[in-house]
Amino acid sequence: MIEISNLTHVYEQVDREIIALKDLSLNIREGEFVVFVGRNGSGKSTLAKHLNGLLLPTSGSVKIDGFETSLEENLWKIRQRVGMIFQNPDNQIVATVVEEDVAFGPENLGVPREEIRRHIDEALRSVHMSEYARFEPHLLSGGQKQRVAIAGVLAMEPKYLVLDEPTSMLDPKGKREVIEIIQKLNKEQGVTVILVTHSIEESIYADRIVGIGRGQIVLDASPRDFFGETELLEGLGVDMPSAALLSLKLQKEGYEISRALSMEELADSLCSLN
Amino acid sequence: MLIELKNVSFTYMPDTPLAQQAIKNVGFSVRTGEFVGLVGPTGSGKSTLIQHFNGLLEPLAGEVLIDGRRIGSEISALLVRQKIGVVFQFPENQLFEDTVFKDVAFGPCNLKCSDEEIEERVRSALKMVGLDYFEFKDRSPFTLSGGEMRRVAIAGVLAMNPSCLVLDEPTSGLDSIGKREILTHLERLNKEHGLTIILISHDMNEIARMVDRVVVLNEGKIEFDGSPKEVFLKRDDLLKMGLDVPEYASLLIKLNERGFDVPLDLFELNEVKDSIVCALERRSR
Repeated sequence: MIEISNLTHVYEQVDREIIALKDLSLNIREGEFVVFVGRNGSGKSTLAKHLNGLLLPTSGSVKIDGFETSLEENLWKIRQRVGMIFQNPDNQIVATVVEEDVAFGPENLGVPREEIRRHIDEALRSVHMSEYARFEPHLLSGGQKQRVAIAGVLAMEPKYLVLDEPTSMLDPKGKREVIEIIQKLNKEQGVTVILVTHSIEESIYADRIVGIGRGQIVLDASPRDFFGETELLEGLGVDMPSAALLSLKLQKEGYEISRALSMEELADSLCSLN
Repeated sequence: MLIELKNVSFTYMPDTPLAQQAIKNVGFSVRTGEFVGLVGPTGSGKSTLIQHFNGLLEPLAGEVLIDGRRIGSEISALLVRQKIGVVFQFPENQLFEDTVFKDVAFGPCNLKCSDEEIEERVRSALKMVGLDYFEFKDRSPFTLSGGEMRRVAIAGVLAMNPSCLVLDEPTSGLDSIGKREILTHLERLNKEHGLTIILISHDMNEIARMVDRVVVLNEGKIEFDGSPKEVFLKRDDLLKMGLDVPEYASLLIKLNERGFDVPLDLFELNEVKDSIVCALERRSR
């Protein structure tokens, strides 16, 4: 369980202070798939960086399975439990061979050699990259590199995976690959996922969408309820899914269809008319 | 013809074991006033290609002409860079001055423009990207939102008075409001100022909505070149390359497979709605 209580974060600048998070409270249960959305500068990345102690609260607290991030002796335990993935895969790869890169985390944790082998193999299998174990990372596509970065985190066997816009630099195929892996890790391996994204198509797969505006939670709801709050969406800078827009238009024409979140859903409900 | 590439090939690290051919025998031209979308999977050669447009890279074989003049021998690379402004990915990382004015003025200052000329160019460049001159000129670029920073960076290129703007994923990483702002201004620059625009994007919805012509690059070669309607009909080929079709097109394809009589080449909300309503009415008859 991740417990965020009355979290405030202030960035100190030379001439002024910027309040990035303001008295924010949120709990994330094990096994959940939670998406953070909001405008650029809303504080969602700041919040993500609090989840493994990369940033520490100005006031309030963040606890991971009961361990407070503000106590230095907890940081190792916390970072083993909470893996982070960032936007640019090139900045996250450190070794010259894929499997060595994946080994970096467990090696630093002092995991015994035979164990490390097992961790690497399992991690690469989870992201469907086993056959690339001996490849040089620079020969991989963006989506493949991002999956290697995820494997590197998985090799530490984290309970929580925090991903900050992991697909925004990838091409459509790369995006699909990474999203499929994230969904699979959550559904099949029970990894708790916290995904920061601007992509509406990616957020509809979540259990919960948390909308953040000016450092506070504006809306916290299931995707279906979230995208029903038309007026709040505007302020959050979030568009409605195209499928929802189109279903509203068709409702206005008098067709009795429910508001769809994805094109698959919309196609199904159109086919079931009459 | 504004930009003309004739049989251009480029290889990184030629004559070494690491040689990698990035573009192969590409022939391609852009007319003044066009709005062209350039799409392709990662590694297809898009970035290599656009660096040929303004002489940042010289072709290993073939030639690049700007206004009919060959870069290097008939027109200097310096002049080409004023004519063809390139906005690279995450251009806000290249902001460096302490005020918006100085950052946008950097190019015209280097061209040794007069003070009045510089101010005039900064004013009009900021206006073109929808930023109020008096509100923004004295602010530090680093206190702006992501979308505003990116627009300042684009203004810095516009201040060179280019006739063509090439943008490499100008909306990536921006929220939907920031995206819309950038796209609205690009559309206006093209329609009202007659600026030629070449837009690289992975977002097929964006491409379908904005451009007159889509060029698809794959493995260093031009695979398709046509209107969005023509190109996005090649769904299977695009998927195989790792690309996609716009969302509404994917819905229409699904409906078509399930017996709906709908056209497949519509990308705009109201058009799509009308075509579905028509198909539903025909079915109920």
